[in-house]
Order: sequence, then structure tokens, then C-alpha cells
Amino acid sequence: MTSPTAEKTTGPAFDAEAPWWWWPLRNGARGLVGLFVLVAVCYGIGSKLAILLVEASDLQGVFFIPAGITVAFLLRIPGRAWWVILLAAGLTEYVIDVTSDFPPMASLGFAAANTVEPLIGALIVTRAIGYVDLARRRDLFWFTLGAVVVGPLVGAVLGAGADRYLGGDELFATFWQWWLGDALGVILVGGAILAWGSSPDRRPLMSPWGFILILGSVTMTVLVLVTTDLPLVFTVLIGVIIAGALFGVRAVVMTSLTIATTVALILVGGSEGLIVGIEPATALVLIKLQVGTFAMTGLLVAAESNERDRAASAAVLAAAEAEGQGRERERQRELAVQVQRGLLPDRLLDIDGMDLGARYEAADDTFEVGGDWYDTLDLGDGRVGLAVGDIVGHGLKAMTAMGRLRTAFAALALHDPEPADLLSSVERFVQSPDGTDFVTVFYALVDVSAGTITYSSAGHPPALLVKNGGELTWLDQGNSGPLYSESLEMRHQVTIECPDGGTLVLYSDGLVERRGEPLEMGLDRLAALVSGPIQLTAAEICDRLASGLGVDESREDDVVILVANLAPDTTSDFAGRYPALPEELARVRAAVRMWSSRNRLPASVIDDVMILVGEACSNVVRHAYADEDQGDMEVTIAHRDGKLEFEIRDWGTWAPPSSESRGPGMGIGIMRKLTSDLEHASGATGTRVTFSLPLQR
Amino acid sequence: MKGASFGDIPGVRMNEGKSETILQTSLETVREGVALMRLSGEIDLSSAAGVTDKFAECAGQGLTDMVVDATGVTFMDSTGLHALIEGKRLVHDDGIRIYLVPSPQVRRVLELVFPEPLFAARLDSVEEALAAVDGNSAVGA
Repeated sequence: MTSPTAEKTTGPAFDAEAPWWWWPLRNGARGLVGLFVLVAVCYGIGSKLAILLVEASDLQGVFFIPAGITVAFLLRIPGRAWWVILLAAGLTEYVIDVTSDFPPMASLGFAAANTVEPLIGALIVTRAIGYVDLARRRDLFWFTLGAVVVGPLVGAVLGAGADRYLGGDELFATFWQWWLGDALGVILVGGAILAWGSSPDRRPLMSPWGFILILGSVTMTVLVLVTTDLPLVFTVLIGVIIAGALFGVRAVVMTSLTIATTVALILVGGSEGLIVGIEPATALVLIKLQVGTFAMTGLLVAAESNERDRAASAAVLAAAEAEGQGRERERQRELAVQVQRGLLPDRLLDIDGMDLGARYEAADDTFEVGGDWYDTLDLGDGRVGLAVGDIVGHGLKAMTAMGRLRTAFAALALHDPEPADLLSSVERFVQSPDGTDFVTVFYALVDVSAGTITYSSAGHPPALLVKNGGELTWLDQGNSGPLYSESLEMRHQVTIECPDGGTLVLYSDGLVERRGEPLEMGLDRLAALVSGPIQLTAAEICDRLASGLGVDESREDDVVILVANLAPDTTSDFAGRYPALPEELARVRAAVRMWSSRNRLPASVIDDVMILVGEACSNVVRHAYADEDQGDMEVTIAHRDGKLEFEIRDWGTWAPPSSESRGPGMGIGIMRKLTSDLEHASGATGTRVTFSLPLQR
Repeated sequence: MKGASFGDIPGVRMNEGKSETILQTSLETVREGVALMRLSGEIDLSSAAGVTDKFAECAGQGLTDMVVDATGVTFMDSTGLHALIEGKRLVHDDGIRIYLVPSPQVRRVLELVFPEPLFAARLDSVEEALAAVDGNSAVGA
């Protein structure tokens, strides 16, 4: 018999890997013969035991063992072998009946009843759920409905009919005894067999507590039957519930089986006074009902607690998995950022007359970390190459491609420093097997001595040049498309004059691009952050751009910024005008320090410059605008003939110095120690303080 | 070059924690009667009061010695120097000995103004200062 339910069956696989003692259950003809023998022997023993018990007592048996054996076999063996099981059960029943001197027709009827009954039960269960796990509520329900209730009901009808051939006249009594006896047989014996393929118990029955459970239940059962003290029955019920709640289905069926066996054995000794005032046959029905109810209660409790355990451990597992995933994602991001950093230059070029700064910030999302890069290259003769690029795509592939490309770029630049040539060479590399899909690059060749910038862009956003006067120029000429494998484009380059230095800002699109807005808006924001004279180091400009454009908060994409403060004209003076406020002093000093380091003044000179400017400005802040609300101060420093010439000017009226304050006197004293030509000239429009500092001392 | 050093660690924000205040001060008790004042940043007109305030905290605390760690001070002008002198005056009545550990910038300003040592000793490190504290205490006992 082939059954579509066989596919649903997920029980033990009876294949060649099974232990040797599984041989009766193996596939193939030998397995079928083995199965036949196994079922026949089990059924035979169970049947003989049942008949012995029936014959030994004056009543029908308590539970019919073979009913449980057959249905359990059906539920654990794939449908295609069912016919062997049914044949074995039917034949054994027939043989035993005939040898027990039953008439052939009656024997045939019993055989039919005992094959149809488990078949119906097993069909209902396997159609509904497939493999039976008694420790699950749903499975227990279908097992009860199909194998315990409906199957035996049909069997009881057929059996009662067959009983007629034996001359039985108590059709109804036979029906009841059959139904209850077989149902109990299925619960206890079938359950005992099926329990071993079900979810394991919370604690093993084979333990001191399990022993106490079984012993206690048997003792109470004996006490109930011997003393006929009915309320004691509930102690037995408690035993079964304990088995369900604290142990599991295996403990429940074993306890119930032991109880039922005890009942059956006691009945062998006589059923008189089983329940006082009730005739023995009815009493037996009641006892069967009671044992069955107890067993079912225990099974329900066991299934309930198993489901709870299952839900709890599933929740724990899910939580652990979620936590693990979160940690794994964080770890992956760290790793990706580490790889990205490792593929970027270890340090920037340290070259005279140029102040360089760079920032790389990885995207927040691991999978967005990609192929942005920057590089600074010393090409000799005062020429410096500045490159920023973006390999289209994200993840490890884009990153490693970036690493290869950056190396190739740096090497090729030594050979082909001219931007257009270089981009063409790099494109040939891109098209080689070592290359990558799609790259945008902005490359600028800065010639410090000639005061020129030559640049070329391959599909990259334009760099921004902030001239010394604060004027902004977008380097948006010299364009061509991105570098990619099928590209045949000519690369162009443009040279612009940049005699007085200025600041060059290169970046990747992550800095300016925001979802849902045109690129121009981002470019405008960038321009606004660097417009006007900026007295910041390249690294400080990087920081200002990063914080001003929201890179510090969150990033959808990688961001690269490369800033170069180009060679300043050493003849250019320092000039800055600031509000005369205490909190401005630090800004003045920072700007002067920046100018000093651009002019490559020795550190000891810079310290003295700071003291001089600091004292002079401090004086202005404290005294120049004593009678006014607020005014400005202007600082100029010129680098001439081996000395620095300072002028600090204000537009205030100066209050007479207070005699109590030692501060200003001390300040002037310090200045006089450092300079020999401190002068100040006051007029209607304010005061000028001048002094100089020789560079060679 | 300042900018170049920023590039040494690409992507790392070097000036994280940079706040509006240009001077950071802290005060701790090293042991019974000995306080350590740390100053770092820039001391000028806008921040000098912070130094005087720290000295004021020390007055009347039963201290015998104070170590002023100014190794982190990158700029100090006459206002800052004035604050140190004012601070010394504030704890004068307590008889506290002050050990100043200056940075090169602080040392420069001190040397310009005072040819003679203003404080109990000018030392190169806090460890040296604390050793000096122990030495003086031993002599005192």
C-alpha cells in the first residue's frame, strides 16, 4: 500500500545506517519479512496476555494490548509497509482466535475488526499531522481523536458484530468493553511505544524520583482497590499529573501502564466488591474510564509543559541569535573599516611649503563601506600629485579593487605625471585583469615653483580652490567620463595659474551628495564653509567640512576629504581683523601660529611671536575700548629682511592705565625683553603699536 | 608640519573633545597635605581666572605642599603669570610651598620676567616635584 502520507512521515529512517537490531525494519523484501515477524510476535504476545487475563478473571480484560501495538507500528512505519503490519496483525489474530476454539467466521470478524480499527486510527492521524509527537498539544489531539476514539469505535462495532457469531447476547456491553479496552490499549501500550519517538522528558524516569513516582502510583492503586476507598483514587491522579508536569509523556504512559497493569492483576484475583454497590461489569467500565481519563490528563499536562519549555527555549534561542547577529554585524563593519584604512595611505606627504590634511570616514552601514580613496604623491622638482577617487560599488570587492588601483595609480604617476596621460594609463590598468569596473578620479598636479595647478577629472565632482584672497574657483574643466573597461574617451587636462597659493579641497561625492536633492546644493554648502579668508590648517579645514556637512553625525556613503594649503607666497603679509574681545585672543594666536608655520619660522621664534602678539592684543582688549561698547583690532605681520615687522592697531580711545593693576605693566615689560623697538602712536583715529623681531639672534 | 601629522592616522579625528574652553584645570590630593594642580591649554585674558580659582580652592585646606603641573600649557601671557602670582598670594597665609613644573612656553615667560625663581623650585616633571616635596618634608621634620 502506498500512501501519500508517507512523505509527511519524518520518523526514524530505516536505512543501512541503522543498528543491526533494526533489521526487521529495514527497507527491501528482507525488511518487510522482518517487520511481519516482529508485528506478529508482538501482537501474538499481547493478544495471549490479554486472553490469559480475561480467562483468569470473570470479566473482560482491562486494556487490550494488541490494539496499541498495531496502531503504534502504523504510526511509526512509512505507509508503503502498512500492508505488512496489517497482514501480520490480522493473521495473528485469526490464528490465535481459531486456536482458541473460536468459530472461523467469528475469528475472521475479529481479525477484520483488529485490522480496520488501527488502520482508521492511523489514517486519521497521519493525514492530519504526519509524524506523531505525543508531547505536542496538536499531535496529542489528533492521536486521541483518531487512534484512541474513532478507530476503536469502529473496531468495537465490528467486534460486537463478530461476537454475535459466538452467541454473545450482550451486544451493547461487548461494544462498551471493546471500545474502552481498545482505547485504553492504544493510550497505554501505543502511547508507551510512541512516547519513545516523542520529545524527551524533562527528567528521566530511570531515576530515584522516577522510581518513587512509579512505586507510589502502584501502591496507591493497590490501596484504592483493596480498601475500596474511592477518594484515594485522586492520589493516583496526582501521581499521573506529577508525571506529566515534572517528567513528561514517557513517564505518564509508563505510570499509567503500571497502574492499569496493577488493576488488571488485582482483577485476576477477583472483581467482587470492586466498587461497593455497583455490579462488577459496570464497575470495570468505570475503572477503565478512570484510568483512561487519568492517562489523558497526564498526557495533556506533559504536552502543555513541553510546549512551554519549547516556546521558552525558542525565545531564548531567537534572542541569542538576534544578539549574535547584531554583534556579528558590528564586527564585520569594524573589519571592513580596518581593511579600508589599511588600503589607504599610511601617512600623507610631508613636503616643504605645503600643508596637507585628509579624512576618511566609512559609511555607517557595513555593506556600504566601499572604494573611496585619496593619495598624495611627490613627483620631484616641487611637483605634488593630489588624487581622490571612488570605485563604484561597495563591500570587500570594491575595497580590495581600490587597494590595487591606488597602488597602480601611485606607481604610474611617477612615469606619467601629466594628469591626462596619467588617467589614460590608469584606464589601461582598469581594463587589465587586475583592474576594476568603474572608477571616478580627480587628479591635480600642483607645481609649487611654477605656481600652477594642472588637473583632470574622470567623472568626479570638481575640486574647489580657495585663493588667498578668499575667492572660490571650482576646478570643473578638464572633464571626461569615468574610467571603465569599454571606455574609449580622450582624457583632458587644464592648467590654471595659482601664484599666491590658496587652499585646494578634493573630496568624494559622499561629502556633498544628499538623497533627494540636486548635487549643486551640496556644492554650495561646501563652498559656504570655505569662503572668505581661512586661517586654518589643512587638517582643521577637513574637520570643519566634516562637521559642517554632517559627516560626523551619519553617513550613507563613504567620505573622503583631501585638503592642501598650497605653497604660500613667503612675501605675503599676515593681516587679520578681529573683534577686541577676550575670547578672540585664542583665534588671533591660532591664525598667527598658522601663518608662522607656513612661513616655516623656527619653533622658538614662533613661541616669541605668540607672546608678543598675545600681549599686544591683550592690551588692546583690556584698554583700547574702555569707554566704547566694542571695537576691532587689526594685526599685520610682515616678513622682511630677516625680521618680522608687527603692527597692532585699534580704533579706541584708551583709558589711562590703572595704577593698581600690575598686569599691563608686566605685559609691556615682557614685550620689551623680546623687542627693542616697541613704539606706540596714538591719534584721533586710534592707536598703532609697532615692533619687530629679528629672526637671527 | 602640523597638517601633515593629522594625516598619519587617516580618518581619525584628532581634535575630538575640543571644546570652547581653551584651558583645562584639575585638582587632586596626591597624599595627606599635598595637592596636585594640573593646567593644560592656553592661559590668557579669557582663561586666567580659572587658574586663580583653583588656587582659591586650595586655601584653608591644611595643605603643606602644592605641585602645579603646567607641562600641558601651550601658551601663557602676562595675564596668566599674573594669575599664578595672585594664586601664590592666596595660599600664602597657609604657608604652602608651591612647586611649578612648567612647559617650555611657561618657562620662557617666567624667565623673561623673573631672573630669580618665583616658586619653590622649577622642575622638569611632576615626579621630580613630588620627590622635592618629600625631600623638603624630611628636612622640615
